Amino acid sequence: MSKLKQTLLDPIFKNNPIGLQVLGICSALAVTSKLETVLAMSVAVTLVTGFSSLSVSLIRKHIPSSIRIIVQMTIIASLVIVADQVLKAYFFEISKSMSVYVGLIITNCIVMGRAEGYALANTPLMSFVDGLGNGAGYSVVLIFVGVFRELFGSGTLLGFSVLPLVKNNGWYEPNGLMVLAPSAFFLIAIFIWVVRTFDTTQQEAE
Amino acid sequence: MLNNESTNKVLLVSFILCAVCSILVSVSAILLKPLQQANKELDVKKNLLVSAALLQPGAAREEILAEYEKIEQLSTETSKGARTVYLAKENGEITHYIFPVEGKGLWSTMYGFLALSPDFKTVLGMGFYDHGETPGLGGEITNPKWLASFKGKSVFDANMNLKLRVLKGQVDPRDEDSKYQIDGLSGATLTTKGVDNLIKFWLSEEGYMPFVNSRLGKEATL
Repeated sequence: MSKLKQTLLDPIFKNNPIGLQVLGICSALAVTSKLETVLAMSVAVTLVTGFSSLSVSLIRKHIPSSIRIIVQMTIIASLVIVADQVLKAYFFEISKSMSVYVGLIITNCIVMGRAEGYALANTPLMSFVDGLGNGAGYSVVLIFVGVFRELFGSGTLLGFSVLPLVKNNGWYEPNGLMVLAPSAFFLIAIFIWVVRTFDTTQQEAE
Repeated sequence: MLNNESTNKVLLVSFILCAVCSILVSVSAILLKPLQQANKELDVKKNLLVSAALLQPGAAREEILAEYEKIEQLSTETSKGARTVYLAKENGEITHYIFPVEGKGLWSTMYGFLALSPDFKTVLGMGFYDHGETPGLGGEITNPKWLASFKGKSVFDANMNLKLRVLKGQVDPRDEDSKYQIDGLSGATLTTKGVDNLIKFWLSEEGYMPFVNSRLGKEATL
């Protein structure tokens, strides 16, 4: 049981896919300017990672190693298409604002990384939990970045005005950099810095 | 049991996997299609109303449908076939003419609405509801801030020549034509050009001008 818990919780800070493994940066830049899309993206990636790891693990003993990458890709792509269809049916506005990035979950290194690095060698239950854990780790970073970017870039959180903007007769002049993708680089770097300051084992040897 | 690395096993695994995955994908696509279709239709209606500034972007479903109920439709012939022009009225007076427009951008066809005042001289709003332009560059055609810059622009000069233009770059406010001009989107020259062409096309004799002229003629006789 404790191993299960460890598999689920480790990826959140101790072995964070973005923080330590530096995977999945692309979408962390692209979809984080609004918290709402961050949440949708987080849920989608977590579910896709969980279920793709589960499926890969279920058939791991039958996957010929010569075609294992393509097998993983097929599974991941199918799951992402299903996720995209569900978003379009039930969360149309959000799916519109995420546009191409839903489809790009297929190329999110975390999904493939966990299938290849963990699910191929572990039991279905553990793989599923590992997938969810890594999805959660990804989500933590995304939410961290999203909160900062939406708050300081648009003065809102989830669309509600928090810092009244100058243009609406408030006092806050929004930081234009926060709306643009590069700001996520700075925020992710700060996240990595803070985490590695508290957990020195994550620091790389000089 | 077949050896995992044998050719037969490779073929078998890939075949089964593909069959299972394609069933999964097609089932979800077919089952969710009606819902997606309904969302899309509602989205077009919403965009029509938002383009004409008759509705706030965050409006709920009921509001959209209630507001859409009030819109009248007129069919007209263009060189691209029959099109529906939408009329918004208040107390029996026409307040907006809303024209569906479409045109090629850089990668895709952009679909939207252009709302004009009852005398067709002023833009009341512009909006796009479907396009496949680059997110962040051409995709900015849906940016409310940019779309708002259309509002209040003049469309024709005194002789009813089309003057409304989307420029490449910024509008110079000192230019006497600036009341007809809209800033281009930076980094999206070809998309911007597409929007400019689309306006030029739909407000020409091939587009809605016959309709516009007949409406104006009608008004003169009233």
